[in-house]
Amino acid sequence: MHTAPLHWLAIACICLSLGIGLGGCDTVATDPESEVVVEAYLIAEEPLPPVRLMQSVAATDRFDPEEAAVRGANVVIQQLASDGTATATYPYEETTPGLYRSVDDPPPVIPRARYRLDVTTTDDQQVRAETTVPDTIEVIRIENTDVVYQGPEQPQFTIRPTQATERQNVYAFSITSLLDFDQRSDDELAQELTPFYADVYDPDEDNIAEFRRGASPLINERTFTRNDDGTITLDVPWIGFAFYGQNDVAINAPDENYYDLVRTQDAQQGGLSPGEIPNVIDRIEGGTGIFGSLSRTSATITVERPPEL
Amino acid sequence: MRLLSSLLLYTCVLAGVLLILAAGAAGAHAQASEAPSAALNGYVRDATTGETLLGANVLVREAERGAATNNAGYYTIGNLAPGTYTVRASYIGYRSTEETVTLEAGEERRLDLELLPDDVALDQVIVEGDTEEADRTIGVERLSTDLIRELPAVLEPDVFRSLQYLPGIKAASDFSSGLYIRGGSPDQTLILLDQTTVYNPSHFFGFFSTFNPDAIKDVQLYKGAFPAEYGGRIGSVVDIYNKDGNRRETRGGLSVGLLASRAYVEGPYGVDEETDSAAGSYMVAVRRSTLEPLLAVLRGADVEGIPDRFYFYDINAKINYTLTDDDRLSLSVYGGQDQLDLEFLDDGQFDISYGNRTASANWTRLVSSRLFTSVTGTASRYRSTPVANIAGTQFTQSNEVTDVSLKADFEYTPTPEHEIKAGLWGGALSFDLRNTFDGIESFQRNIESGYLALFVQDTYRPTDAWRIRGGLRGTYFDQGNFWRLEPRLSVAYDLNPSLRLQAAYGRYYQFLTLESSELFTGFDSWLMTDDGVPPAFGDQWAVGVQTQWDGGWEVESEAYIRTMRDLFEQDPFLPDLSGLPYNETFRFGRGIAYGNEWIIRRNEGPVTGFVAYTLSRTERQFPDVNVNPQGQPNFYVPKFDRTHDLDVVLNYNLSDRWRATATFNYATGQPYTNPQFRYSLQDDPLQSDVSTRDVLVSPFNNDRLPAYHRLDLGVQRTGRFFGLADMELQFQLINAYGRENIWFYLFEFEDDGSVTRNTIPQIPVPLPNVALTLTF
Repeated sequence: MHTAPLHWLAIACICLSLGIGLGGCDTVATDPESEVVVEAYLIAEEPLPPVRLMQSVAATDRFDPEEAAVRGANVVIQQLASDGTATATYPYEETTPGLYRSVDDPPPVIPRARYRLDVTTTDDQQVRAETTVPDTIEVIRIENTDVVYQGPEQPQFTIRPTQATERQNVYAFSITSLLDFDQRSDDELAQELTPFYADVYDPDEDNIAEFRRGASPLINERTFTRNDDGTITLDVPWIGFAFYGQNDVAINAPDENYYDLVRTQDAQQGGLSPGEIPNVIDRIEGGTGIFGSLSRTSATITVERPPEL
Repeated sequence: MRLLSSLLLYTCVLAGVLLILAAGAAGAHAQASEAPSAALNGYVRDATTGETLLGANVLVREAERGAATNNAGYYTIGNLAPGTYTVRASYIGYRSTEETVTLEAGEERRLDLELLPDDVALDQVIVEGDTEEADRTIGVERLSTDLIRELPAVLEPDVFRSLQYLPGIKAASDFSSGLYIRGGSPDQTLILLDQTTVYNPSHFFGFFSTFNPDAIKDVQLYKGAFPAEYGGRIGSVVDIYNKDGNRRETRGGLSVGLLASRAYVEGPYGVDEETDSAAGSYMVAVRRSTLEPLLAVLRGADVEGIPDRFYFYDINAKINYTLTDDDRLSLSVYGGQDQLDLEFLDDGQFDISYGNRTASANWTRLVSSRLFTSVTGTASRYRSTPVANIAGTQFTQSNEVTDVSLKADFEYTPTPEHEIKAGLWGGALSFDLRNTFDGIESFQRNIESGYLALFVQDTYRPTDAWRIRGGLRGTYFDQGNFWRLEPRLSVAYDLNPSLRLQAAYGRYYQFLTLESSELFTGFDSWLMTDDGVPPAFGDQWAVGVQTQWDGGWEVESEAYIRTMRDLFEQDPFLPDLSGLPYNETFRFGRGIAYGNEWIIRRNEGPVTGFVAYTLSRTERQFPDVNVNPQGQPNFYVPKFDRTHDLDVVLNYNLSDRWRATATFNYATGQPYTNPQFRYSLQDDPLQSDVSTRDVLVSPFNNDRLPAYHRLDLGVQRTGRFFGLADMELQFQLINAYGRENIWFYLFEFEDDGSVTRNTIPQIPVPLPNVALTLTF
């Protein structure tokens, strides 16, 4: 056996190991702490909404919104001018645990206006967020409001798009069944499910009310057909209809805050490799959650069961 | 075009300088010599099949001079004084051989050498074998196809899964054949089959690689700091060559396994009865999954989730023709396809089809004993067309990659001290990606780019102990009008015949990126640079030490550091790409990887194999991931980071007929995100009234899964099959002690407000495998 290699190998070992030890930089992941969670959605031309305040809980704990409610906070929403000064102030009061409503009659949310939320908790935590409300969506035409499920005619909206911000407009369909969920039994409601959802629905596991409203992913405006007059035409996909009968079909245009929350929360469900869960983008100073806005328009679409089903 | 001209000019100038230097050295050498020197050259072949052996070592003992065969199996050794020499040839898995030659002054002797495989040579000792190698390059691994077939394998022997045993190479999971080499993702590895780029080298949606071991002659892996002759990726290269076909006799084989069956035939054609030499040879190997009967039984038993149709196949074929003693032609083709038709729930259907086609035509010419040329035309196409129909709404994604290229290389040995390689590789690449949603085209992108790469490299051996290889590669990429220069340098010093020290550096550019899922490779799509999307690049440094010991032992260690900058990948946070400017569909990041690899091999004796250990770390930094309180992203460890990785591969010849194989792997658990806080938004207008939008708050990838370990065992019996054919029967047990390794955790929000952590396992139980191979 050669002896020289032993000597050199030992030296090489030490050098290489030292090289490894010195070679890299360290990674740091910030350990999160429990935070105040705000939740409010300003909808253009609808009354100023309530604000919900909660405290995030350990991931292993059960989350109960009432138990997690942040009580006794000072909550104010202000409408801002373009220079950031407040043009109107709307104080809020806690009406049920963690839920705060405008002290006065809530005024309608003004499209394209900017609003600020200020929260001061009883232990002097400051939470602040701002949103700019998207412009309204003007409906030009709605076609095929009475359709046979998966028939040749598909419900179709023609809209004039909202005024674009720095990014192109993004929309999400939301479809809400108008069946009477209070009066009908689960079995009766299940009879009205379209085939795909009927197969998904497990009466032992699922609450059928979860199927009442569904939403599409966020879809860029350029996906849809743009007409010569600047309007766009959107076909409502059949996959959105969970129930036969009357459905409220809404087209929603989210602001930046809501857009960021939805897209990054979607990524938590599997946008990266399995097991990798990124945090959401929340645009909340001093807390987390959502202080967002959207504009929307809707129409009632009646979906009939095909004769063969 | 100005840039291209500059690039061409620069590269030509460099080549010229090198050639002048080499010519000068040649002239000086000629003047210094008292008598014209002699030279040896020729091919090294397998004695039983006539297949050329790539990377075999040839050593002229008395002169202590050696060379390795090139990718055509050709070697040349010059500057030999007249005299009698012992020429020794060696190759992993073969018995070394020696021949004595007497060279006259000025003679250029063609000396073709033939080696017997170890298994054939057991009773025919030609030379007491050792594995002395004249040219062991840093970062290079070579895998024998025999070993690939012998290693215990999940259902089917696999080239990439065998590579995963080597130090510095990691697997994402038991279900993935993807190669994570020295901290790089799979798209950072260039995969070549007969010099043709293969864009999606997977079957079974990532479970297996596309390379049929029956068809493969040689697998070379450049783990990093690779020379200037390769480029286009910032990580590593897997260079695979199909068999040329048996030039001695017609042979065939049939292998039946649980998942797939294989068959091949190879042989000579145009055999001259007088000289007993063949004009050429051919090889055809086919493989197809054979799951249909099992699926039919399961469907008959009303087992849920059984596909209506599921198969894969591949075909490799190659034909060679010897035009003259110095000219050889070959044509190689590959075709592979995966198909899955799956009906799920009521009104849901997935139809997924994807596959690769490649073809390459090669002409090699030995212009003189000092000049070897090779011209290759290649074509590669990858196409996937997944279609989903859910509740009357159709989702489609059509993705097609086409790459047509022409390569020309020459290897020139002007003097014994210099070996010059130069070449060009130009081609046209197109990516066509089209998505539709509900009958409307939601995304369409057709990107085409021409590319041209030129390289020149000189391997300079100032003394027998030193080898210095310097090279420069220039690459032009039409899409985005990028041209880049990539210097490469490696130095090797033989402290003594048993100890080599090496160091290497290289800069690398990559113009492509792959969007892939660890779960399912059927949707893989490639994207490329453009305006606002610059190529990714990185530097690699490596140092290594290689030692050889008596008794067939080898110990090697390498340390590496590599940077990754301007990494670009499709932004995973974008819900929809429609209408976005191309550069805005990407996120840009950077990374670093460093590690130390060790391998102890034994190539002789009843027990052979190796133990490999890697200590390593890889890190990434991308926007919106692992954000610090100041809103800036910190580095994080990606999922494929493993601090410790230990592999043991052992082969034991129990008798002439029985052989046992065992493999063991231990690795630090994968990083994963362990959620620490959570909340549920109650009033989301896009959610049902009783539903919530559930949010986790977590330090990104700040925890580790339990350590991974697995033992696989195999026993192999060889013999005759009823006197009709040679037989090889394999019994294997994967995960022999039933380790329940974890693939990942899935966190599910329950209706009562709690979060359940579900464990998704890797292969959780011992999995037997039986395979029968007959060779005619």
